[in-house]
This record gives sequence, structure tokens and C-alpha cells, in this order.
Amino acid sequence: MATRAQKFISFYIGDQQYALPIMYGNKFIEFNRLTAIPQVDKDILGLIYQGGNIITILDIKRILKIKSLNQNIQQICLMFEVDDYHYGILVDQGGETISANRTFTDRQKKIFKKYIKTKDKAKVYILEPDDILAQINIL
Amino acid sequence: MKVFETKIYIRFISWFVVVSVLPIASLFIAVYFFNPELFNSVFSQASNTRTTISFATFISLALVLLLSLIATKLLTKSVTKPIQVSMTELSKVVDDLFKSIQNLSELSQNNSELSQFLITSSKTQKKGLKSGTKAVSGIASSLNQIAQKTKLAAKKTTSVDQLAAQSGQKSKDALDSLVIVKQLLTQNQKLSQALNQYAKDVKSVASGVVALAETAKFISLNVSIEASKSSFSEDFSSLVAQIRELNVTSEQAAGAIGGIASDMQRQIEQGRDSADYQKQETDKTTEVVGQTIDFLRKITANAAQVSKSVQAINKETQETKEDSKNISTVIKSLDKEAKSLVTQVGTVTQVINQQLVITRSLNRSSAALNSVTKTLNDLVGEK
Repeated sequence: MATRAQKFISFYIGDQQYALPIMYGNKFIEFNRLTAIPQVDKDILGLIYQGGNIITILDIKRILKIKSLNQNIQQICLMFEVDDYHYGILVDQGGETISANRTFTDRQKKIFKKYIKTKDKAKVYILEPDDILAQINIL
Repeated sequence: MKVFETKIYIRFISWFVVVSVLPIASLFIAVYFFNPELFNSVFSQASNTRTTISFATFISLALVLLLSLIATKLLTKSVTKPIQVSMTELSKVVDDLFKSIQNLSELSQNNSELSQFLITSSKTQKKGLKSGTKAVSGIASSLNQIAQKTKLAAKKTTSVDQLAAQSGQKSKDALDSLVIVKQLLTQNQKLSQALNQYAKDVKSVASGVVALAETAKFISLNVSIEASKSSFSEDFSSLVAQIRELNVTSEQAAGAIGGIASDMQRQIEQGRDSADYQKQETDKTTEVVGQTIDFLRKITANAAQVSKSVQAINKETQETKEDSKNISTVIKSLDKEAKSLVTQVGTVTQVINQQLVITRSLNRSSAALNSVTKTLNDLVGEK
């Protein structure tokens, strides 16, 4: 039985490559002005307005507990849409679209366990939008 | 009347007594040996004849003694008086002679000391003259060297004067050149400023190209996402590839333009800094050259004065050199005189030695005269 290939958008946080499943509303955008929101979860950096939509910017480094000293020179985020809400995760660099026939599971990890392998056998962990939102306390 | 005034009296009287007694005694002895009877008849028997003869003998002897006294008195008057006068004179002469000898001795002693002093003095003088000769030779040598050096200095001063004049002209030329350089540097600065502005413009264009490249990059990423979503991904693939190529080309172009702009700006800034530095240095050099020109003018003025002074020193040195030659000649003649003086002192010493010999001889003569005077005094003087 032929399996259908799953497509992902790759991006980099530091030197590590991650992947987000392709869905409606995926887009890389660049922004300058971020409006901070008071008394919200620290994983929510703020809001931006882009293309007629209000986008909630999430601090994916904090969510993934990555201690990176690199400060983002360019504010680049990868947009995704869940239940008609637009979200954006801050990334260091955009990547390519990847097709993968198979996903793997890293049982040692508690969250973001799934990963795919590139042609050079490198692990690229998959950041599912629901998993990301599950880590955030959004009222 | 003093009968026995002198020894000569006694001698005269003795002679008269002996002369008077001796014939009578001879007569009596002849009578005694040739006619003893007569002698006995006269002297053995008391008689008037013996008394008469004795009395007559006694009278005759008394008469002889009286006559001898008178004769002695007369004789001594005529003999001893001139001797006494002569002795007195002789005694005076001896005294004077003794005094003269003493004076002569003292004089000889003084002359000897003076001679010694003269010898010592002449030796010292000779040494002094030798030292003086050496000193004058040294002075002459030094003056020769000074004269040579002043001649050289005079020549060099003239050269310095000429060089200062030439340097003044050259400094003026250098100053003119520096003014031109300064003008060129000002123009260079203006050009540099204009180029800097162009570089900024190019940099702005480069930043635009960078933004364009970023936009192309996002377009490329987003197109690839959209292509992945659609079912016509194969049709989009060439477009995505072209956009990616555009992205890469834009990034390369932006990078190249930015690099060129940065290099250009850096070089312009370096050129501007260099121009500023050169301008500052040129300003400083201009100031220094100006000061140098003033200094050279002063040197030129002073060099002429120094040249005159050096010539005057040269002239004075020549004159002093001649004076030193004269001094040397005088010292040589003084040296000869000193040698002659030493010779004369030697002669004087010999004369003094002879004088000493004569003094000793006179001393001996004086002693002999004293002895004669004493003998005569003993002969004709009072008892």
C-alpha cells in the first residue's frame, strides 16, 4: 500500500533544524513593530498586524527551552493558522519544504517527540501546531 | 833720669862695661902671668900702690860707666826714636792692614755668596728661558693651528653665507610648492567628500538591493510553501527555482554592491583621512619652512658678521704669530746672554778664589808683620 508523502516547512533556530507541517496560512513574514501584551504568558511575545490579520507571536525558543545567545536581527516569523486564529513563531532562518514518507518518534522526549530524517540522515523534529499551543497558557 | 829704659840700653851698657873691664882684666892677667912678682908686690902686700891702683881702676871703671851711660843715652836717642816712630807707624799700618784684610775677607765671602747666588739664579734663568722657549714654540704652534682653522672657518663661513642665500631661495620655492600642494589637498578633500556622498548613495542602493533580496527570499520560501500545498506543485517547481535563482542572484548582487560600497567608502575615508593628515602636515611644514626662511635670513645676516669677525681674528692671529716670533728671538738672545752671564760668573768666581788666596797670603804677611813689630817692640819698647 502506497503511503502518501507528508510535507513540512523547515526552519532553523540556532543551528538546529525544525519542521512544521504544511497547512493553510503558512507563510514566512518579516515584521518591525511588535505590540507587547500585558499580563499574558511569557511565551507570547506580542501581536502584529499583517495582511488584514492580527497575528500572535510566540517565543518558540522559550517554549523549546533553547538557550540561544543569538538575538534575532531580523524579526522573521513563520505563520500558521489554528481555528481561524493566526499565530507566528519567531525563527532565525527560513528553510525549504520537505516531503517525508515516514515520521519517527523519539521516545526519550516528552514533547515534540516526532521527527523526520533528511537525506543526510539528520533528525528534524516536527513542531505540531497543537503541541505548540498546548505549551502556552492562552486565556 | 831713667838709665835702663829699654833692653838696648842694657845691651849698650853691658857692652861698654865689658869693653872697659876687659882691657883692665887683660892687663892684670898679663901682669900676673908675665910678671908675677910685680903682681904680688902690688896686690899681695898691703901698700899704697895697691890702694892707688885699685882706686884708679875703680875711678876709671866708674868713669867708663858714666861715659857709657852718656853715650848710651845719646845713642839711644838717635837710634831708638826713629825706630819707635817707625814702629808706631808700622803698628798703625799693621792694624790698618789687618782691618783691610778682614774687610777683604768679608768682601770675598760676600762675593762668593753673590757668585753662588748668581750661578743659581743664572741656572734658574736658563731653565726659565728653556720653558719660555718651549711655551713660545707651543704658542706659535697653537697660533699656526688657529690661523689655519680661522682660514678654514672664514672659507666655510663664506660657503655658509652662500648656502644660506641659496637655501633662502630654495625655501621660498618650497613654500610656493607647499602652497600649491595645500590647494591640491583642499581640492582632494572636496573630491573626497563628493566621492563619500556617492559611496553613501551606492550603499543606500545596496541596502535597497539587500531588501529586494530579502523580499525575493521570502517570496521564494512562501512560493515553495504554496507550491507544496497545491496539487500543481510540478508546474510551480520551475517558477520556484527561478525565484530562488533570483533570490540567490539578488543576494550575491546585494553582497557585491554592499562590499564594493563599503570598500569604496573605506578607501574614500582613508583617502580623506590621509588628505586631512597631509593637509595638517603641509600646514605644519609650511609653518616650519616659514620659520626656517626667517632663521636662514638671520643666519645670512650673522654669517656675514661672523665672516668679518673671523677675518679680523685671522689678522690678529697673524700679528700675534709675528709677535711670538719676536718673543722667541728675544728669548734666544736672552738665552745667549744668560750663557754669557754664567761664563762671566765663572770668571768672577775664579777672581774671588784668587782674591781669597791673596787674602790668606795677606793674612800670613800681617801675622809676620805682627811678629816683626812685636820683636821690635821688645827691642825698643819699654821694659
